[in-house]
Amino acid sequence: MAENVIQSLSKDFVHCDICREPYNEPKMLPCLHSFCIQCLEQWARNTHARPLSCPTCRRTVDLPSTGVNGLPNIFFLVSLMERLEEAKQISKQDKYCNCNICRNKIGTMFCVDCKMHICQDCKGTHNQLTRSNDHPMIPSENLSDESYLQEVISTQTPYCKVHKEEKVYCYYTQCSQLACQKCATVVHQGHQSLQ
Amino acid sequence: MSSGLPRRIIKETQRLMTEPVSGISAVPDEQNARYFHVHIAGPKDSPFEGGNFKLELFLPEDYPMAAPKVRFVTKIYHPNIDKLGRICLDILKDKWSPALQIRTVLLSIQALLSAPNPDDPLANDVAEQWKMNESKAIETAREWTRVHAH
Repeated sequence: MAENVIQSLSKDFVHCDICREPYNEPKMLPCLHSFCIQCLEQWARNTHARPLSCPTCRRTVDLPSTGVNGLPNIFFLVSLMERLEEAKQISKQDKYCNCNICRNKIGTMFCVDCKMHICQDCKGTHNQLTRSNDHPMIPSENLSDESYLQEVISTQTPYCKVHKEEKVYCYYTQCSQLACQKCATVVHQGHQSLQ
Repeated sequence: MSSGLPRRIIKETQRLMTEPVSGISAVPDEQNARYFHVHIAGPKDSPFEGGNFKLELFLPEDYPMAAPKVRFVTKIYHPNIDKLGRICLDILKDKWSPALQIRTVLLSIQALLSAPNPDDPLANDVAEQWKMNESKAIETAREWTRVHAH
């Protein structure tokens, strides 16, 4: 079931209805339909004589003063696409490699966060470290199964774009940005957020 | 030849070939990938049933920001299609949206054959006839289909 949902997400929900390619910098209209920024800009230029309407539902759009650029970004689509792409990249590599810790034995597990192959002996070490004890591990034999990887990866909390080692913990509605604990104290003090 | 062809047009063409719409065929011209030879089968229970209508479809330079240009090549007796084969259909004009595609346009034209709209005519004489004496108009449309659309 989950597999089907993920498959249909990657097939049907990450493509722009205008160019029919995976979204490139998607922007969201007030009707909640989304398109690539470039596609929307082109459509806005083409309809200059008339008010801009949503290509999908035709609802009229009042563009912000900054134009298409001022429409909200869709962090959800972008991070979903990044993770589907990550699953694709991981599934392309060799299933069985030498352990990245001891370099001696063949790895039996793969850590999604460290991007490391880990053998049975070193698994304990990896799991004891506070930094890595909550990392998702995948059995090496499943590494070529793209839909399995998509399922695992798309349910993980993403990492912060600025502080790469920190996981995201809230979403700032005002600035439509995901932030980790560090960003929250430094950049977003006092902003409205959702956990 | 097709090096300058946008990926969206290539994708649409491929899908038209691999998953054709029932009763509709659209084949790109060998010389010009933006020009399509289209055939639409007259819909069941319409005066055009049994007919095979030839159309031409052209994707302008700014497609999909601008609508495709579509015209009936086969003569047809229909209140929204004129002598030159031009079609009165809102999505081909001011209701065009870049989320529409070749297949949705052709489906709309197929639907227009099933539901002529004499209140928004392009061929005035045909629309007049359609409103004044519908059964005679339908008979004429059947006759034209028999004579021209095969």
